[in-house]
Amino acid sequence: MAGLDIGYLAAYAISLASVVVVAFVTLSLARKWSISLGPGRVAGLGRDEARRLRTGDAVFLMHLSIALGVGVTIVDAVIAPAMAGVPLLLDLFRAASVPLIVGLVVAFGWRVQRYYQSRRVGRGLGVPGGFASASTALQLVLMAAIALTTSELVLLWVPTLGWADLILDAVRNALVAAYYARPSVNLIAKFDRPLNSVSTPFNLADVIAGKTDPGAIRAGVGKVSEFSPDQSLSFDSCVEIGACEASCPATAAGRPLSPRVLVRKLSLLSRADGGGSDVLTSVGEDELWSCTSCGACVASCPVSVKHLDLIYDLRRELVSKGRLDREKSAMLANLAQSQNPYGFKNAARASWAEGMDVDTLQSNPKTEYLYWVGCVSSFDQRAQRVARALSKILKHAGVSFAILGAEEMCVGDPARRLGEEGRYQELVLQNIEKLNSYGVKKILATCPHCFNALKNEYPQFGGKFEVVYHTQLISDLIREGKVSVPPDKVQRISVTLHDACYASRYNNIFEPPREMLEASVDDVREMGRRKEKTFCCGAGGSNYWFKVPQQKSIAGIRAEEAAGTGAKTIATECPFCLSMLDDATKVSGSGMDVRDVAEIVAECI
Amino acid sequence: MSGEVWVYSESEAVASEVATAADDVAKGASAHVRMVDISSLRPTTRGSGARLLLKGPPSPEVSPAVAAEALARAARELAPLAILLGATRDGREAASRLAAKLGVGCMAEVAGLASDGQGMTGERDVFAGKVVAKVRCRFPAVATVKVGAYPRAVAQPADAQEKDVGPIPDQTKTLGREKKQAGSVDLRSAKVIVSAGRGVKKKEDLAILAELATAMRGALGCSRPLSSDLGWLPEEHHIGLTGVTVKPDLYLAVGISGQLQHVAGMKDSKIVASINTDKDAPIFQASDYGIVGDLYQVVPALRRALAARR
Ligand SMILES: Cc1cc2nc3c(=O)[nH]c(=O)nc-3n(C[C@H](O)[C@H](O)[C@H](O)COP(=O)(O)OP(=O)(O)OC[C@H]3O[C@@H](n4cnc5c(N)ncnc54)[C@H](O)[C@@H]3O)c2cc1C
Ligand code: SF4
Repeated sequence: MAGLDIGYLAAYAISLASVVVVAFVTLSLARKWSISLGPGRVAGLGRDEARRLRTGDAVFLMHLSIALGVGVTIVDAVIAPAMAGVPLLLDLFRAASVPLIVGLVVAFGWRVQRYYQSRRVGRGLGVPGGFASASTALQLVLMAAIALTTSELVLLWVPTLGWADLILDAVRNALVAAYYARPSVNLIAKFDRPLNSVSTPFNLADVIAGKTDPGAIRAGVGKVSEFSPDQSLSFDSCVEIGACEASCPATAAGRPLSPRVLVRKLSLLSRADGGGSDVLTSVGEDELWSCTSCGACVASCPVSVKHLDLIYDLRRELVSKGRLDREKSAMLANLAQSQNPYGFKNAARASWAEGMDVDTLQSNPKTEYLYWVGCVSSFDQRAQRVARALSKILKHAGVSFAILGAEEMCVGDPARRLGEEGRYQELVLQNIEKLNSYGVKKILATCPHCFNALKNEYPQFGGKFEVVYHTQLISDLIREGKVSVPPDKVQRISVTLHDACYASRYNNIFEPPREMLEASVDDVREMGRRKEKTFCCGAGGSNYWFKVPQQKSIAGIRAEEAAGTGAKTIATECPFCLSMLDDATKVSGSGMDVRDVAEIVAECI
Repeated sequence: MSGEVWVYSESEAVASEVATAADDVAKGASAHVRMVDISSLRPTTRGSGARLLLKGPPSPEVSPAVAAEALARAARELAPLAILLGATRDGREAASRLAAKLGVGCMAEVAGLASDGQGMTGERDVFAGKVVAKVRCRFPAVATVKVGAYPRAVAQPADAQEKDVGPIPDQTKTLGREKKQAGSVDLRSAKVIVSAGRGVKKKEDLAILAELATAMRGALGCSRPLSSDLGWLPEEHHIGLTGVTVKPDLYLAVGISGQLQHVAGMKDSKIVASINTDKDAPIFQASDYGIVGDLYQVVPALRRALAARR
């Protein structure tokens, strides 16, 4: 009988040992970073994976196949002795293996394709030879791990090969212990950390109150060894899947940045000399400025690497070293002197509202909403029309609102994304003081950057408000019948919606702008990259205020994609997107019309 | 109290301006002015008062860092009341280094200097020249004097004193010098700028604007589409948010609609005039003078008018 065969027992013991090694490595890594692998955490991860499964993201499905494939084959190895006695078990495993084999084969194909892409990107960026070979090595090892896992699943279908099977198993498990344990731990630690959370190196209020010694403040990271353990876990978890690079608008535009290369460079640097050398000798300034903070990399990473956390800290270093060109320092100087990035006088902020009978909080502090206009809609003549359209809708629906007018200041987002945390927090504190002095409870924003800062960042500094995005409020008003478009007013135009990163990916607002379009135009078309997978307009991450070397414009790529739907109008929901895409359609000469969803609705009432 | 007010600038012309400022400081503090030179190949002859030649640093290039160290060494020994430098690029750097080395106050880019014996006061432009701040610094002090704010002092024969401050190694090395490409402009220092926008139909038509700019002794700028999108002019000509910020005495916008991103780069010009066919173009809101008309008629007419005045 096989069960008593001494050879079989030895093989089983080796197999079990390799599983124990995987478990041991994973558990000790988790302990090293004090990461809970408790049932609550794992169940949470399960729920999140189920959510991502529903989005049908291909890269995610491939990675789920790898994870489950490894899991199934490990369980198979452990319960192998029982299998022989229960044929039903084998059937069950065989049934489970089919979709996983498909997923793994696709994942293998993806890796091969990414391998060629990564070589191309690497050549474009001029990465050093050492980096290219380390990158190739890692990619090949993981291709091997996928191939081995696939063959193990296939072997469920053929009479066992005995020792050959065992060797496959042990080698594969060694690779899993060496390469997959860290990303798994990183995933469990960070799957639920929202994209919109930004690290805060110091708290200005504490510094002012004398609770923090200003001399002890260190914003930015100059050496890899200065990254927090959490951040080094992040870059050390990268297994070059390349989903970030594939979705990055900066890479697509031929800018000197690939999130994959950046993360791997940090990882290799940390190993090279204990992380003691200056990061900025290996990471270029324009590499860091190229990022639009769109978050596509973070959202697409199957193992929850947080690229943006790293980029912000490196930008903070550039700022603290004064490595800013004229455009960037001018923007920061404007924020300091005029409290808006353009350098205009805030006194002119309410000029868009002339003749519209819009209250200021000073004249009417009892309104339900404070409409936070934002700098672009305050000063940019094109975006001012959005503010007017929104006011028209609100007045039509009888919503009571007021603005701050000349008292409004920049929300601070451009300073924070640039890496100037101090100036950001100065603005935050002044704004919170002003808002509290008027007893503001509810804030309405048309700019997703203002919205995101007010909603997700201000609470940390003591500003607690209910913050609503204009598309949320307007779609509610439509649903409640307070805004209705008569059938003869529905516009006979074809429209495609460009989701703003900070509304969609950062804040999960997808349906409201679509509901607005459904109600007001008769032909809505969708672009391939939409909702949480939207493609940036190129303005985020403070990129609106400076230029970066590039081969194509990000807005141009997006405008082309929009034109590809055959629609004649691009609907936007962010004044920056409006400005960028308006400019891009003019440059391309596509003749497409670009309008905010609020303008489209306002035209129908 | 009697002492000395030192004057140093790497530029002889600026040094003679700073010397005039130093006279004002010296008067109030009953001090003497001394022109300082460092291992110079071009001895300072201008300026009133005595001269001090600091020997030691490598000649002939004196970098701001070396100048600051040389001045600091001499000042520690001779204890002048104040050291004034020119607010040039190098002067600013040298002054801040020097003040830090001596642990004394530094007033940046001041004019209207005066002294009461205990310290000196000066006036400096802040908020892009919208406000004048009066600043005061106790002696000993360092200051940079705004360039162009004072007349040059008359040259006087001077008695020179020499002082060896010892060798000062220079941490920076000039690896080479490259001439800027031909045709490059420095819009930031131009007094008159003629700026072209998409109202210009063809690249060749830029010639009439370039001629106008030359006739007005100005430089040619443009809106972003002309440089970035159409490539008719090099990037450094492009004015605005993502280009150069300019403040000329006269800004003439020709065929520019005046989008915010453009206006952000020229809004601080002293006088803005514009030519545009569209009377509702936003550029007119940012202009002191506007001509509603076709640039292809207005620009040649302007050229003729200018020619007639000569
Ligand atoms: C993030 C971002 C940054 C930007 N940064 C800048 C920047 O730094 N600088 C900048 O300039 N732009 C910038 N832009 C672009 C800016 O938005 C405008 O698109 C650009 O300034 C328009 O250039 P223009 O006025 O030459 O062209 P248009 O807007 O096309 O205007 C042409 C004008 O010429 C007039 N015209 C036409 N024919 C004639 C004629 N025969 N005679 C007289 N007038 C005529 C028209 O009436 C019109 O007003 C930026 C855009 C974005 C999105
Ligand atoms: S945030 Fe966007 S632009 Fe920045 S690296 Fe990630 S994908 Fe690229």
